[in-house]
Amino acid sequence: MKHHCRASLRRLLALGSSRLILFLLCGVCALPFVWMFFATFKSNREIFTPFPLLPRDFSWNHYFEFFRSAPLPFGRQYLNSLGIATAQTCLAVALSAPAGYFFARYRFPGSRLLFFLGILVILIPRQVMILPLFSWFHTLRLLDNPLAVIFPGAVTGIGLLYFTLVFRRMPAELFHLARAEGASEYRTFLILLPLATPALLTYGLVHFVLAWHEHLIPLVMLTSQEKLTVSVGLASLYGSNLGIPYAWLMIGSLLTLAPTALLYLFLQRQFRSALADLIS
Amino acid sequence: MRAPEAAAAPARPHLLLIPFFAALGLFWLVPLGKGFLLSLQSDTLYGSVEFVGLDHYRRLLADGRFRHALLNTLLQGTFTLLGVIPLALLAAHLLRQVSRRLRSALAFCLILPGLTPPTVLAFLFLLVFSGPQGMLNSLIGWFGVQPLDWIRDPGLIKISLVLQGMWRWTGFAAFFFLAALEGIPQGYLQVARLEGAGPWQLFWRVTLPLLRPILLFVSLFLLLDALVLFEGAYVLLGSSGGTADAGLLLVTYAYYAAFTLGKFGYAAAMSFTLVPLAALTLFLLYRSARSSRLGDAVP
Repeated sequence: MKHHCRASLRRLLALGSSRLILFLLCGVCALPFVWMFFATFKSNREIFTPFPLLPRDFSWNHYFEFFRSAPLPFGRQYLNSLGIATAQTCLAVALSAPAGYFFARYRFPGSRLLFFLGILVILIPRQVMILPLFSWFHTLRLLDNPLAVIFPGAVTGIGLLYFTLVFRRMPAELFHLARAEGASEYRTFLILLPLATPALLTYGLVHFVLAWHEHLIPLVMLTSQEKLTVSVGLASLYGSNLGIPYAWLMIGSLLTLAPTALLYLFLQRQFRSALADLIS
Repeated sequence: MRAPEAAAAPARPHLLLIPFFAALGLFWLVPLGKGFLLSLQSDTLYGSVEFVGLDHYRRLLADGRFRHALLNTLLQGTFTLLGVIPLALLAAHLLRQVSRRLRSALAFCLILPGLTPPTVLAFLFLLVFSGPQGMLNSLIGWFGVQPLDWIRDPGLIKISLVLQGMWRWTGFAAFFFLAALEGIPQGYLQVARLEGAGPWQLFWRVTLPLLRPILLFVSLFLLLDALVLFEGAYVLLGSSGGTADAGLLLVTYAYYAAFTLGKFGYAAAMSFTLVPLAALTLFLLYRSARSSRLGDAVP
């Protein structure tokens, strides 16, 4: 009896400590965001001391003022970012999913080399390639054009790797079935594509996050205020000395975080099933 | 009805492959070629440019700052990877033990930093790391520890860099691991348990090998961030290396050489030294993957 008690006590302790570790981890990750949320209500005086978290002189005013007299074309830049990130994501999926399918299905002399080339090129730092890229886009007359941001980011080695994995995992019977039905090779691809919907959405999210985070390329390629992306615009606001309430920066930051966070929340079930398919 | 021979050897649908490599050529290989030419030319900003051959590369070998930056990059990448992966595995394992609803909420908390744009992170990092009233110093203050200068002390800069990398990516990796763990067929684990495997054996022999494809994907993503993107270091320290260059990374050094010193050729040469490094990493990942079920994922 006593033995039994001790065993269950030990189990309880183990459970408690594992919960504690988990909550601690989550708290560490989320705390700065909780602070950021409360900071949107704070005055400049108290904004730089993180604790106490709750604002002393609470006010909604910052929100009204931000939308009434934002010093940037914030809405315009926000839409630019959404447009660019969405277009880049769609293009990235449209380019890498077929290529991944091809690598998964066919082997030919040099296929391995080509595959590694596709991934390797992406591992070269953009920060310095930005200069030749700039002069190349100058030649193409694409500067200060959203396409100059959309195109380079749409070529992705991670996407290539991911889709090759995904199509390799598809049961071979499906390909045979499509062929037995007399479908052409292109048609087979189109028939099988919907089966990979969770995988397509998962990669779409990862790429959207990367595209939304892109900073250097829009900074260099776009010049006019009304064409800039929100991330660059916000950074210029951080750097400026306009004497604006810092709460505005926090509101802008929260709004900039919103699309990726919402996308994750809407699609998380799809991602889980896509990744589970990759394993089993 | 088609003849069976014709169905057995259909033409390869090359059009599926061509757009990707056309875009790769147009938007990466051409600028890359231009960049390589740049790395062989003198750093003259105005007037005629001279061809200097491998001069920049030769000077790199003698440049102490470059070696320092290279070492920092490698250490930084390795330690972030070594920190993120076990922690993310642990988080994913612990998340599996809580109820479904709580799991979603906690996973969201964990992944938030990974969803945040670098511009916003820059502001948050300053808040967390800087000043005696920063968040980190306030937290350690509760345990009676004196405030530390996380951004200026050369020893602490490296730790801050690794910490920010871990903070940013642990949840992201944990999300992938969690989904993968949920996908492992329960039958495998039951069989292993019946064979008398303990929890550790179960982890090393069954779970980890099954997770390999995801591990590869996550590692590649993290290395990409460590080697190439490195917005983390940039937002924390700007284009300098911090005190005594303690936080100097290859990418920040190259950026500094190009845009502050105007040595575009030298900076281009520097970034090309990453190519063999990236190739080596890719090769090692490939080797480790080939022995597993992932082997069939690489053509």
